Amino acid sequence: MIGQILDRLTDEVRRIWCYRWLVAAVTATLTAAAVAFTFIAPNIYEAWGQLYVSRQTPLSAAAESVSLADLRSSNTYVVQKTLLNDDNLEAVARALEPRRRFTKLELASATTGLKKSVHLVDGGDGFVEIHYTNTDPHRAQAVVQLILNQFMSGSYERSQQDLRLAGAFLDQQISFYGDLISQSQAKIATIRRRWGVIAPDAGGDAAIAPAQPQERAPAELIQLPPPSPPARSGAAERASQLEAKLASLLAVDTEQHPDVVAARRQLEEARAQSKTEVAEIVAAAPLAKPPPAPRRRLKVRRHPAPPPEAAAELAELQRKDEPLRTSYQQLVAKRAAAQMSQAVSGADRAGKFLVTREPARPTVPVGPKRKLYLGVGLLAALGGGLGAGYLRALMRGIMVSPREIEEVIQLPVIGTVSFERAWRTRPPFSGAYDSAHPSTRRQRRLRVNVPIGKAS
Amino acid sequence: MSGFGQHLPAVAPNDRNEVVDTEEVQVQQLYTREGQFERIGAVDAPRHDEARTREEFRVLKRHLIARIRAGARGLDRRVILVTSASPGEGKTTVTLGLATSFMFERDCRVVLIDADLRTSELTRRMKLSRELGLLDYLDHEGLDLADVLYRTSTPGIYAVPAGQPRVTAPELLSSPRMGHFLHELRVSDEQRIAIMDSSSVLSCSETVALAGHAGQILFVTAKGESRRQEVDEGMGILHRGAGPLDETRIALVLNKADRGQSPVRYAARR
Repeated sequence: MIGQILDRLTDEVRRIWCYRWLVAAVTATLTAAAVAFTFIAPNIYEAWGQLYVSRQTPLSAAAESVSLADLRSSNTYVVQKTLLNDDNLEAVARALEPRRRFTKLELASATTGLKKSVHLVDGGDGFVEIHYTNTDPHRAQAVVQLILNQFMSGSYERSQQDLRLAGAFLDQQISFYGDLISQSQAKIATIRRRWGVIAPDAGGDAAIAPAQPQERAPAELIQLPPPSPPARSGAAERASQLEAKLASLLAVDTEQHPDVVAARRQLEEARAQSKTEVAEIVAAAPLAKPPPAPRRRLKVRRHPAPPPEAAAELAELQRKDEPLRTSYQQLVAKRAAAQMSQAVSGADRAGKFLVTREPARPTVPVGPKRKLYLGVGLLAALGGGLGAGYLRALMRGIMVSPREIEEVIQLPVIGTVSFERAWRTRPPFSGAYDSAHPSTRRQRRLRVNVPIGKAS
Repeated sequence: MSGFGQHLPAVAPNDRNEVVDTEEVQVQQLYTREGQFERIGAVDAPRHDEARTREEFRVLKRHLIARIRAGARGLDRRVILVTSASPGEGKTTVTLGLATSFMFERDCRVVLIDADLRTSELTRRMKLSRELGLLDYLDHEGLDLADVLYRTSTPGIYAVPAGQPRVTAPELLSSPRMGHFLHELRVSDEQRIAIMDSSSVLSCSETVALAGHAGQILFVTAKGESRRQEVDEGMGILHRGAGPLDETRIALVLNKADRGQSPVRYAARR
């Protein structure tokens, strides 16, 4: 088996050897091309700068749990994505050639070239190196410097812009919830003015609570203490508390969470109890005798007993009022956090990123690796030459061995005739010609064409 | 006995100036002037490894002699045609080498027939280009075998040059007189072997006609030069034109082979 493989390999070598001059010519040509390319290729310089991507600055540490900015995503990937985007690279390309007017195609080409030539290296511990290679050392330095500048300014502006957008969004939400609370309070006040709903006071005595209109927007709650909750029954208040609790739980957990299930069950019970109490109040209203009131209260106009629909609406409004207030308070807290984050970001001037090494003008070329290129070029030239010879042999379909001929023709090869030059077997001729010298006679005997008849 | 040698002038190769009679003078002069057969030794010349080349031709010769002794069916196995698929593959070289190798056999005479009418390489090597040859014999009924048969400096080897070129050369080689020529050779001496150096199969058509007269066909291929498609096509032409060819009638020779491909592995260096 191994013998057959070796025979085949030998045949292939012979096949290539038949076109050795072609192999030599192709190899020489490719070698010359490789040598020319290697030594003509210009020097390549590499400029680099270094960024320190801080995971936590002093101010951000102080603002921890308050700041909304994500301080954990500062790695090389984020830098690469934010640094090597098209906008930044286009700005760099324009800055490199300020007098040139780029077309879209040219700008895209320049951007692509920059993207290919800029490499980010993770230096560890938050250090990120920006490398750029070019045949012009001045340009290499300028590109790295521009990229760093673009990145720093872009990062700060982007952070500020994000925080401004977040603040605007929170302001809008606060206004919306303030309107909802105002409308709810207005309805409650209207019902109270009309029906004079009896609410239990702190001492447990029932009194007619005169309704106070609340026309003002609760935005003032930022500075003012939250308004006192309206008087209501104990079950209704408990239901409201449970609803707020359930809303906060649902913001974190799912419906299947045991706390959520328990809160929902308690809420159902509280609602049922509240309805029962309201029904009892409504039923007992005509029969109940009001306690003796002071004279001042006797002057108050007595209201008719509220119908069940009004009582139910009032209970519903009171029930919804508490979650609205809770959401409102949360939005106000987030708005304050956003303002603080903006203050943090502005104070340390994008303190997450710090340029730790400005790019210097390179003086020692980093490439091309001429020895490596030369070696690879020589190997490629040799491979190309051998490939050309082998391809040529295959295309011509030459035969190089008796075994191959027998396989193809299916007839026996009864012999071979080998051509061997005589100089391989003849002793070298050296020195002056001397017919009497023994070596000269020996060579003459070898060279002279001896008639075969005499030889026999 | 009317032998083949009786038609030849009684002139010794080393005694070229000896004159016997007028007719023999002409032949003598022909031989003396042009019939220097030293070039036939080119195969065995010191330009090549003599011992190895000689042994390689001996191997070829043994195969051919074995086939001759195996017996003939219809065709004369002593008539050997040397051909190839395309020109330049070494037909003349193999012809000369075989002739010199057969020469060493006892009681064996070899007639070299130059049937390559395109290049006439064998005639040129033997310096018989301007002499009467095979085409003259085929074209003129009056010529006898002795008129175109030349003795050489090597005992036992005779030559028939191609003769003067003619447009009708292919038709002449295909004529019945060619068969008559080979018949005369056979009846004149039963110990002689005729080796015909012909053109390549794919370059002319008369080779197929010659193959019809040959008892053995030696198909020469050159290493690295013969293309399998051409060899296959040439074999097909011979098979269709010269009757069924089997391995008892046709054989291949790989010429220009490497020393490692030679059947002679341990030949002496000189």
